[in-house]
Amino acid sequence: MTKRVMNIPLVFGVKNGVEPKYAPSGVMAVAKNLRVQKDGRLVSRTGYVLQSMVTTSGQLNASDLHEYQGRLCALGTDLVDGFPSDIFELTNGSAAEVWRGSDVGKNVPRHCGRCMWRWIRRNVVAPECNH
Amino acid sequence: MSWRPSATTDCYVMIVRQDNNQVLHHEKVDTNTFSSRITFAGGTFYVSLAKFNGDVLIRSYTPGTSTAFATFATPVAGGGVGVHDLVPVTNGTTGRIISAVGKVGSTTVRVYQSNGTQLGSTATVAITPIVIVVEADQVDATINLYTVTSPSTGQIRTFNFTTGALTLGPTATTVGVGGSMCRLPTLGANPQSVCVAVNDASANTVVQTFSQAAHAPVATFTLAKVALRGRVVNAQSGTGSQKRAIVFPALVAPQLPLLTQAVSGRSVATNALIYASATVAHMVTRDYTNAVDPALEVTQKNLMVDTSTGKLVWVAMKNTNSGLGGQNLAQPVATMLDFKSQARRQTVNYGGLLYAAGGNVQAYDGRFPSELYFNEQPGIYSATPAAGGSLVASAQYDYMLHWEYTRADGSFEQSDVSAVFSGNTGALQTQNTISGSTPHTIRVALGSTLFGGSVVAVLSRSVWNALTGSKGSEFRRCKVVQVPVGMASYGAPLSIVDQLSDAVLATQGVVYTQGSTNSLSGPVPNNAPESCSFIDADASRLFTGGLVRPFETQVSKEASIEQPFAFSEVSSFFNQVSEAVTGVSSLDTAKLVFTANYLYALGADGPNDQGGGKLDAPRQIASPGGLLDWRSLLKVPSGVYFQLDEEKLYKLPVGGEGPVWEGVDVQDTLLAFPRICGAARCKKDDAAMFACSNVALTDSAIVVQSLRAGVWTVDDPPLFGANGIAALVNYGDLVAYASGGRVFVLDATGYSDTATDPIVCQWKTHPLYPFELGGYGTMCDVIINGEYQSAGTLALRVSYDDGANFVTYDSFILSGLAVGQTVQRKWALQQSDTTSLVLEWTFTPSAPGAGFILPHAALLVDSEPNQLRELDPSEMA
Repeated sequence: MTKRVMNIPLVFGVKNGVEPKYAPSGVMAVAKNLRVQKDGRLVSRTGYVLQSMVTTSGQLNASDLHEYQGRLCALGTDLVDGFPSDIFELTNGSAAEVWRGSDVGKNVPRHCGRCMWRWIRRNVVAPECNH
Repeated sequence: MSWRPSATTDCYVMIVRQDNNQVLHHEKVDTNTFSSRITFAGGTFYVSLAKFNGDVLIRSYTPGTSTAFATFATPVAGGGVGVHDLVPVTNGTTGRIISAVGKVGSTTVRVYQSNGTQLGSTATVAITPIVIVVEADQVDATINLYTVTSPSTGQIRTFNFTTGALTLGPTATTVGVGGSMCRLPTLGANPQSVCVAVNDASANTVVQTFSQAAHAPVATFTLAKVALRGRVVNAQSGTGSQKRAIVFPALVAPQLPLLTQAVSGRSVATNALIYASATVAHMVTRDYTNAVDPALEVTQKNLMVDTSTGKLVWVAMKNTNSGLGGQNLAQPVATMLDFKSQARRQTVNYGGLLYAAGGNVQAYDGRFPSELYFNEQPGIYSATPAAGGSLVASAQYDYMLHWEYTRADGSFEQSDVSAVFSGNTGALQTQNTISGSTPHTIRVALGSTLFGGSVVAVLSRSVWNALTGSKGSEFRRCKVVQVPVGMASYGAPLSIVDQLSDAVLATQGVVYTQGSTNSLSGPVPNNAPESCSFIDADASRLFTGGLVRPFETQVSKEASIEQPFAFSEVSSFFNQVSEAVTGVSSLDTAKLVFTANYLYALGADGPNDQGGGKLDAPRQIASPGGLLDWRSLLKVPSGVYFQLDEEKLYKLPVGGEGPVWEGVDVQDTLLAFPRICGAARCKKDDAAMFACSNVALTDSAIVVQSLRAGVWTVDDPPLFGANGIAALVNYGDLVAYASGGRVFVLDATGYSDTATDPIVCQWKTHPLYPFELGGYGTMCDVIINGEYQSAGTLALRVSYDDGANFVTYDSFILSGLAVGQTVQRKWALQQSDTTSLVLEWTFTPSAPGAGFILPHAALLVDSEPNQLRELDPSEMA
């Protein structure tokens, strides 16, 4: 019997692309909630923080997100029906207006076609018709 | 779709599959037909046929079961040719479809069950309609009927669903030449109501809402120069009268009600889908100035909501060859749209604007989202000369009109220009009053007061040379007038008085299409980009894919100072690939076009603003497949990621090499969460991140690749309820995602999810074989060398059968140590006689904190050199 130490460097992250039995020592099947630090070590990620969804007239229901000039924008609605009706920006300002719609004051759906109707480009063409 | 060719009285029906446009059934369903209506309910198609012999009969076809349309019911036999309508019963428990038939002196309404037998009694009214629209709600036990009788008497009636007895009406509606109706169900504080849209003789659409309970008027508003063409659909969005909204198909044209160019006869109408409420209206279009001349359209075009998919089916009439000379041949086209869609839309930031695909391209300037440019052509209705100005009397003048819009960021847009309109003056006539069209845009509907931007109408005129008695060929800006705002002005004609002398006019700017940006020839007119599903920008242009013709892509004109990207309908700005486009992106100087199976690059810069030059032919890039979903597209310095299929995340690297399977190391996660719903680059972590959801969209993971090290990890993000991640985007140096309508943002420094929950980290090895695969020995201890960051519990589980079963070992509680202190802990393995093991450590912080760094572990083993593992006798031979 020969005793020896087998080193297992836990810095290679997840590797599903290799047959596990032949995988180099230390590659992982699971590396959960970790980030690669500048020195290559895997450290805990930071948290995901739930944002207040308060608008001037209700609670924002966000369907889609986009970044605009470093600002966070949501396509969503604070109306009864759930489909997006406006673009809202996360202001991190007043607690009564965490998300600010472009629709200040009028509170009407104005999301010009893009949230009301998403073009799915199906084009069915039938032959000649005059009827 | 059902139709009757112009040369025969045969009626045809074609059924196509929604997802791939495949024709499932095509049949001549009857002969000697006058008109038809088709609908879909309970998995079956129903077509109502009005025949020249007076019969109105209904045939049905069930995909997967039927071989041909079979007679379902015959509401009326004999009599004169009449009008008819056929729709599904809303909230039908036993009622399937409802049929209305209008004959001379007798209009009847019948509800049918799924087996073709009539339900309840026939509703009858002694009128002769020329337009008939019906709808019913079985739970509400009411039937609403809208009719127009000659000459132009509009009425609504409400009947009892079962007895057919008239319970309300007739209630007069606005007088019109046609119209439609729908029910607006109860929504919040909004009681149920009936909405009628009427075409008046001036090509305006008047929308009236009545209470369902008493036919009491609720609201009336008018959309100017919008010609209703088809069924009205409920689009309420919330409580309050301003949110009672409808959607309907329409035609818009430069000179409504005239829909053809006076000289050429070419159709200039555009098919539009209008969203309208009392306080806002906007539209999405298809077939820019290529709708058919209504003189050739006889029947009502259709608009329906497919309740099984929520999609809107929009049938419009396209002019097949107007671009080739105005033949005005009608062709029905059906377009599918997501109705009230919550789906994501692809956007791109460029030049201070956020451009969004999905329907008409929108631009957001930080204040207000609106259509990009104008998706209709301006027009001049009339020129009325009079005395009072500084024009030359008895001179020849020509006019052109276009619109301009200045966004909140100062950029401005110029529309297409109208056709030239003659405005000659007579004796003593020295001014002209021009009546021109205004755009059907939300910018007019909502106005400028809140946002600082406004639409202006720009009138341009030729100069009259009194000495030579000739008119110039250049059009110069003679008058700029702000378009009045508000719903009353939406599309309303605008009067512009031109009194400008020729001497002053000669000093004014030339209309932009005549060379304002080019000394040799003028740029082609600016058009709105075609409705599209995908959008991106490269160094100099915006480009789109997923157009009405799904194989085509469109590029903008070159970027211009102070203007958003402008587009043109000139063909050199379009290109096409072999399959329907599934996404667009860019890399280096190439525009990338993805289809389901292929990947193309467009290399050349594209046409100039005069329409000269063109894009190179699409160059196919060798790739094992195409793009599954645009939401997986992510640009990073080293290339573009894209999801090839449900388990494969590829990257097209910079430098012209072929795509590589970058995500092979997280394919197990992608198998469990195959829907990539968003991708982002997190600058804080220098990582590419992909939000992946399961098929049911109830759970998600985020796969993360370090852009520096290429190492993959997987996040277990907090979700709102049982809702997967719907979107993931960059947010400054961080990322943000949406789940269940809520938004989560990555914390720059904090280590807690949802502000309170500590983050559990996990390290799990693949099976370790210290003695090679066939070797044998003893595993003694395992030791870890880590770094303490914050208090918590370090747990270990070990599997001796390659991960099938795990043994839980004692945990270590770490607390009170200095941050950064090295920590070593050792476990004596309980089953030492083995060939492999899987180690799984979990660190659970006791409070939010950075937890534990685990860069290294070591295993003490005692190998049996030159020996294979001992097996059971049954395992040996």
